[in-house]
Amino acid sequence: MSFSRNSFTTEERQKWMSVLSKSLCQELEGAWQGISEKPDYQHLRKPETGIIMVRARAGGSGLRFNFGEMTVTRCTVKTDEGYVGCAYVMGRDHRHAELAALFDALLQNSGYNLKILNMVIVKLKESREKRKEEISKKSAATKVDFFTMVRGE
Amino acid sequence: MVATINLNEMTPGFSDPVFNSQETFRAILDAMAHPGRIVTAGSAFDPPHPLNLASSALCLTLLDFETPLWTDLDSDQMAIGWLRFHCGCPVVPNPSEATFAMITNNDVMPSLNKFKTGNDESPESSTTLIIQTSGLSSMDGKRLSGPGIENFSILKMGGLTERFWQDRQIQFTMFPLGVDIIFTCENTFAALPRTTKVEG
Repeated sequence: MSFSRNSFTTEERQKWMSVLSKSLCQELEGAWQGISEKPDYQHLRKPETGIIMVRARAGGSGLRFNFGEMTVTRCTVKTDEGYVGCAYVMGRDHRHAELAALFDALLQNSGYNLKILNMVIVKLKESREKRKEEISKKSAATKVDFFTMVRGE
Repeated sequence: MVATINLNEMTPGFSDPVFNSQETFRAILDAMAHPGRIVTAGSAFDPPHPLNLASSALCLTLLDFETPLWTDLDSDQMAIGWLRFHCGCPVVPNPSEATFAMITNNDVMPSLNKFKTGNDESPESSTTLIIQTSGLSSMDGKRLSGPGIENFSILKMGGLTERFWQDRQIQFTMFPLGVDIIFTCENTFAALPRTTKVEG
């Protein structure tokens, strides 16, 4: 193929895909509107919602068990330059999955990569961490310590 | 080890997955209920080489993660990746494990008894074969009769070997066991369920 593939490792791509799927849809929409040269694209797989079984290991290292089902929306897009972006996001927001896939495709393009990486991904990550912290703070305030009173003799 | 799917050459499937697959499913019911009737797969998209439009539409409609597929396509052919990507179906190496079989080269296709023919308790647990032919026409071909056909119907399928018809004759005597077959050509297909008698 003629297009220039940006050099990135699988781990790097995993990281940005993770940030994209954990961001809020409005944030992604805002970032998308901010991109001046939007590529044309087609859907290889239109956004579709399904259920997946999340599996976990007891204590992180024990036997695998079915933790529970989760609603997931996935999407695959291909830009006209030939970059294919994929996304799997929690919930049923089709636009979120589409935008996450679009950004995944853009990030593989060396022409866009650095700009987007610095502008969007870093920002999204920060805001995600902020949200996480707020939730932790809120739940920390409701922390209850369990203890047993010793009955006086 | 499962081969990775090359997404760079991937093409889209149905433009409207829900309605297109419902439409195709209705056409399959029509074809199965009237063996030998040539029906049209309605939707339009670019099928992956060497699959024709009808074969691809049938796969998109019928296959999913619970239907193992056997196919004579080479494992490095784009079409296999296309089927795995869009249908999510496992591709099995052995015809006897397959719920569906996609056959593109009739000259070297395995004998029909190599596929699942079901058992007496559940004859429906058999393989459904999708066979690509070089032509389908209702003029001077095989004479079909049986359930769903008033008197007889004529169907000509291009490119099938004499060995295939001998196998089919043997399978017909095994009823209720056997395989169901759908022949495709370009955007049309016709069904040959196990109940249909073939002469000529």
